[in-house]
Amino acid sequence: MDLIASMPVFTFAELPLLDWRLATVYLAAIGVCGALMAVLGHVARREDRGEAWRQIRFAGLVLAPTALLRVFVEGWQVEPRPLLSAAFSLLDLTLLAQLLVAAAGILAANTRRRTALVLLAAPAAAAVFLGLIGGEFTRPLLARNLPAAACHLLLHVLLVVLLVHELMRGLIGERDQAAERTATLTAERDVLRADLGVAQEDLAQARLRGEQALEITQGASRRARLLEHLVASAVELQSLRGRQDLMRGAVELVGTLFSFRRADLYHWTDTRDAFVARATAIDGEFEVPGTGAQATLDRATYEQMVHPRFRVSNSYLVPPVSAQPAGAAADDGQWPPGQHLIVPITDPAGALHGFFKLSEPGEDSGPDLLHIRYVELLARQLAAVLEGNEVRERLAACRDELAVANDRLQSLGDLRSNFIANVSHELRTPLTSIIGYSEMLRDRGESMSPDVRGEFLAVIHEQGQQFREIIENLLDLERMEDQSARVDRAECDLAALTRRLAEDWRQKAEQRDLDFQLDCPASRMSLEADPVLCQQLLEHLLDNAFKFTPPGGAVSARIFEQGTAVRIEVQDTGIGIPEDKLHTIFEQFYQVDGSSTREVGGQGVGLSICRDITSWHDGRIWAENMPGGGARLTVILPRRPHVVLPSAPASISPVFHDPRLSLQRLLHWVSENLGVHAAVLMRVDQPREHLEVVAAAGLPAGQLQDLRLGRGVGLAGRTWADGETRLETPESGDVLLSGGGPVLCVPLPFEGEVVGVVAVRDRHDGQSFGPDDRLLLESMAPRLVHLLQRYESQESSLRDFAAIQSSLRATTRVGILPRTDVASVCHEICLASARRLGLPGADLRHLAFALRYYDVGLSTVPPHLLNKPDALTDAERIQLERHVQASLVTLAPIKPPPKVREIILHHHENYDGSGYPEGLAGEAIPLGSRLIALTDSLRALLQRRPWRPAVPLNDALAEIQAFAGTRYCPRLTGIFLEEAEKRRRHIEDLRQHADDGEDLRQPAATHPVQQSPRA
Amino acid sequence: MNQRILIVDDEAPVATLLEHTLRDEGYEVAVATDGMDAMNRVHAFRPDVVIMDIMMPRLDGVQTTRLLRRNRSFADTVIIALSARTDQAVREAMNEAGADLYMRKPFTIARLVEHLRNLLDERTRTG
Repeated sequence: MDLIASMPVFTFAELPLLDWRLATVYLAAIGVCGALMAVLGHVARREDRGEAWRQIRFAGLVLAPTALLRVFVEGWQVEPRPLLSAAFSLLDLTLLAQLLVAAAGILAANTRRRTALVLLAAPAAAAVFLGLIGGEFTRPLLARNLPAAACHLLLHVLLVVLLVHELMRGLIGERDQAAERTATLTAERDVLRADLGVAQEDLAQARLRGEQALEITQGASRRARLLEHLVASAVELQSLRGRQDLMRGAVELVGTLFSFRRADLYHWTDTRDAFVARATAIDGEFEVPGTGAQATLDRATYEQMVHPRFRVSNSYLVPPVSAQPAGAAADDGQWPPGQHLIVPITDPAGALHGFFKLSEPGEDSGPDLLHIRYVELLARQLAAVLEGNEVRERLAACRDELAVANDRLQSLGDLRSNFIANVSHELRTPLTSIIGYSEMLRDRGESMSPDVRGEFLAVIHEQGQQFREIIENLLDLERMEDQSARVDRAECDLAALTRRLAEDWRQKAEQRDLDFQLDCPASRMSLEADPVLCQQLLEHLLDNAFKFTPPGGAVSARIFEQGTAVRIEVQDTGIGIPEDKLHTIFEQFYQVDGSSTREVGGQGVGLSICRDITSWHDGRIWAENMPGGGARLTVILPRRPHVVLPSAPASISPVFHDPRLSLQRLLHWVSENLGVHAAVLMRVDQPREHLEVVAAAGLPAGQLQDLRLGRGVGLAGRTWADGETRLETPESGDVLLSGGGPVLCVPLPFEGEVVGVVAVRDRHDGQSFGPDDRLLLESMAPRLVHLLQRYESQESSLRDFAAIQSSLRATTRVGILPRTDVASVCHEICLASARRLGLPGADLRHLAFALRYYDVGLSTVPPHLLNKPDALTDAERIQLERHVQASLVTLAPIKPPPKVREIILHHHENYDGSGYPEGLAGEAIPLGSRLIALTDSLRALLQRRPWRPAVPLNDALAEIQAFAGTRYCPRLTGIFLEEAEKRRRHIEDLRQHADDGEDLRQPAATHPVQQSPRA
Repeated sequence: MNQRILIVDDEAPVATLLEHTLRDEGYEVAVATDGMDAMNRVHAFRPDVVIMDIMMPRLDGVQTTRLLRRNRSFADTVIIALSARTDQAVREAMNEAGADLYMRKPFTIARLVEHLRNLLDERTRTG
C-alpha cells in the first residue's frame, strides 16, 4: 500500500490546464491508436507471421479497451480512484514496454524498417509527450511532490533509454549482419572473379582455336566442294557420247570449275605428229576453235613447252614466249599475262592423248597446287572416259551382234535344214563322180583303152579324197560342237608353227595359180595356247582365203606381235564379202553365196571353227572388205589368258555372244583406269550364301576357278557383310586377295543389298591407294552392278535358249532319219483314218504334231538295243520303255500342248492293257495314241531292219490284223487297214524305187510336159 | 540327124562322164561350165535336151532354166535337172522354173538314159 500511496496518482479533475473533454479526446485517441495497432498487427501477421507484429497486435488489443475503460473511469470519477489509477499506470507501463520490445524486434527483423519506424515512433512519441507534458511529470512538480516527479522522470528517462537501446541494438545487429553479408559477398565475388579470369583465358584460347578450325574447315569445304564438282563432272563426262561432245564438255568444265577465262583442249591429229585444238571455252562457253596455223601445234613445240623446269605437279606452267628464259614465273605468286598452264591428258598406262591449255585465270595469283592437281585428275578421268567411250562403242557393237544372233535363232530350223541340204549336197557331189565312173568301168571297162581306164580311176581316187576331206571337216565340227575339244594350253611358238606350215601353203597356192606372200618374223613368238588348235586356226584361215580367190589372184598372210597380243591377218583378192554378211560368215554352215550359185566347195565350216578357237583363247576375229576388192580376216590372240571365267552352263552354244565377255571387258577397263595389276569382280550367288568370282585380271587362275567365299570370310566376305569400303592388307589366310599389297575393296549395292564386291590391288606405279582411287572405284560401282544384273538375266535366258536349241536339234536329227517316204505314207494313212473318224481340226493338229515327234526319245536309247534281234533282258526292256518319258523331257522346252503330251505318253499302251508305261486298256487309251501305235507298227514292218529285210505289204497288214483286239483297238484297226489298202499302189511303188531317182510327181498341172516317164 | 544334148555342170568329172556316155549313146553333145556359158551357147547349138546342174557359179540352174523357158524357141526343149540338192525347196523352184524332170545325184547312167529316151519319145509324139 505504501507503494501504491507513493505512486503518482492523478485524475483529470486534478488537471489545472486541461479540462476533461480534452482528456477524453486524448484517451479516445489512444484507443483509436490501439485499435489501429491491432488491425495493423493482424494484417502484418497474416502477411509474414513476425513475432514482433504479434506483440503489437496484442498490445493494441489490450490498449484499445483499457483506454476506453479509463475514459469511462476518469469521466465518471469511479472510486477508489488511487487504486485504479495505480493499476492503470502499471498497465500503461507494461503495455508501453511491450510495444517498445515489439518495435525493437520489428526493427531488428523487418526489412521494411522505415515503415515500422514511422508506425512505432508515432505512438511512442505521443506516449512520451503525453507522459511528460500531460502531467505525470509536471503535475507532481507543480504540486511540489518531488519524489513523485523524480520517480516519473526516472521512469520516462528509463523508457527513452530502453527505447533508444532497443533501437540501437536493432541497428547494430543489422549492421553486423550487413557486414557479415558483405564479407560473404566479397569472398564470393573474389572466387567469381578468379573463375572469370580462368574462363576468360579459356575463351580466348577457344576463340583462337575456333578461328583456326574455321580456317581449316573453310579450306576443307572448299576442297570438298571442288572435289564434289569434280566427281559430278566426271560422272557428267561419263554420260557424254561421242568424242567431240566429250571434249566440248571437258573444256567447259575445266574453264568454269577452275575459273580460267580461256581453256583449250588439244588432241592428236589423225597422223599423230601434231596436236590440233578440238575444243575451246571462253568464260565457260564453248566456242568452235579456230582453224589454220594457230589451232595446230607441232610436236616439237609441245616438247618445248613441257620442259622439266616449268613443271608443277604433273603439269607445266609455261611463261609467255618473250619471258621464257626467266622461267618459273609462279614463284612470286603472280600470274603474268600470257602465261598458261599445260595439263597433259594421259591415260593410266601413260599414253598421251592430248593436253589442256589454260590461260587468264580468274584470280591474279592463278590456281594453287591443289587446283592443278584437280585439273590433272579431271584430265586423267577424261582420258579414261575417252577410252571408256571406245569400250562402250565396242560393247554396243557386241550388243548388236547379240541381236543378230537372236534373230538367227529364230530361223534356227531353217539353218538346220539348210545345213543338212548343204552337207548332203557336198557329200553327193564327189559321190556322183565315184559312182558314175565306177559304173562305166564296170559296164564298159573291157572296151576301154588303158589310158582312159587310168584316167577314170584317177578321177575316182581324187573324188574319194575330196569325200574324205569333207567327212573329216564334219568330224572336226562335231568335235567343236560337243565342246569335247578342251583347250590344252601350252607355251607355243606361233612363228615356228607358221614357218612349218608355209611350204604346204605355197604348194597349194601354186596349184591354184595364186600369188602367195607370207610375212612372219624369224624370231620366236611365244603364245600360251593350244598348239593343235592354233594350227587348225591357221589352216582354216588360209584355206578359206585360197578357196575364195580365183586363179591369178593373190593371198597374203601377216603374223606379228601387237602389244600384249599376236595379230594374224590373212588377205585375199577374191570376191569379198557383202557388207551385210560380214558378221554372219562365222556362223556354222554359212556360205555367202547362199542359195544356189556355188563358187567353191566346203560347207562353210572353216570360219566357224576359227571363231570357236579364237574365242576359246579369249581372242577376237573379224572380217572386212578391202577397198581394192578382196577380203581380210583378222585374228587377235592375247599372249596369255588374263581373265578367269566362272564355269559356264554346259550347253550354251558358242553361236551366241557370251555376256561374260562384257564383264571381262568392263573389269579390264576398271583395272586400266585405276592403273592396277590385279582386279577381281565377285557376285553374290542366288541363294545368297557365297561370293563367286565372275571375272578377274592379274590373279593366278588356279586359285580362282570355282572359288566360293562365305559371308564375312576374308576381306571380300567382310565387305559383303557390312557394305563398307575397305582399304587394308588382307591377312595371309585370305585365299582370294592375300599375297600382294593393300587391297581396295568396294561393295556393289543394289536396292539396299550388296550384290557383289570389286577389289583391286597393286598399282602400276607402286604407290598406295588414296581417297581419289576410292572415289573412282566407288563411282564405277553402279555400272558394274548394272552389268552384273544384265549378266544374270542374260545367263538365264541363254540357258533357256540352250535348252530350246538342244530340243530343236534333237527333233531335227531324229526327224530327218525316219522321214523316208514309207514313213510319210504311214503318217498319211494315220491322219486319213483320223479324218474318217471325224476328229475335229484341233485334235488333228495335235495328232500330226505327236506323229512327227513321238519317238524323239529313242535317241536316248543305245542303238544296240534298238537293233537287237533277240529278246531283250528285263533291264534292257526297262531302258527301252523309258524312251517314252524321254521324248516328253526332250520336247519340254518347246512346250507341246497337254493333249500332245498325252498322246505321246500312251502310244505304247496295248488295247488289252499289256502295254507301258501305265497299262491302260481299251477306250481309256487316247484315240491318238491308239492310232500312233498302229502307224508305228506298220512303219516298222515296212522298213528294213539290220536283222531282217522289209516285210512285204500283205504280210505286214496281216500281222496287224492278227493283233487287233490284243495290241490294237479293233475298231481303229479296221479303218486303218482300209486306208492302208487304198494306198497299196503307192507303197509298193515307193518300196520298189526307194533308192532311185525320183520324178516330179506334181499333182497340179503347172507345166505342159507332165507325164511321168514310167507312165 | 542326131539329137543334141547340152550338158551344163561346173563339176568337170561329172560333165566329162556325161559327155562320154551320151556321145557313146549316139547323141551330139556339148558342155557348158555354168549357166552363163550355157546361155551363150544355146543359140548356136540349139539343143533338144539340156541336162542342168543347179549349184553353179555366176548363174545357177534355176535361173538358167527360167531364162531358157522365157525364150519361145526353147519352150519345148527338154530340160532335165540333175543335182545333188535334194531339199524340197530347190526341187520346187526347179519345177516352177520349168524343168521336165528332176534327178538326184548320184545317178545311174542307165536310168538317166532311159528317162532321156522316154522324154524324147514323148516330145516327138506330141510335137
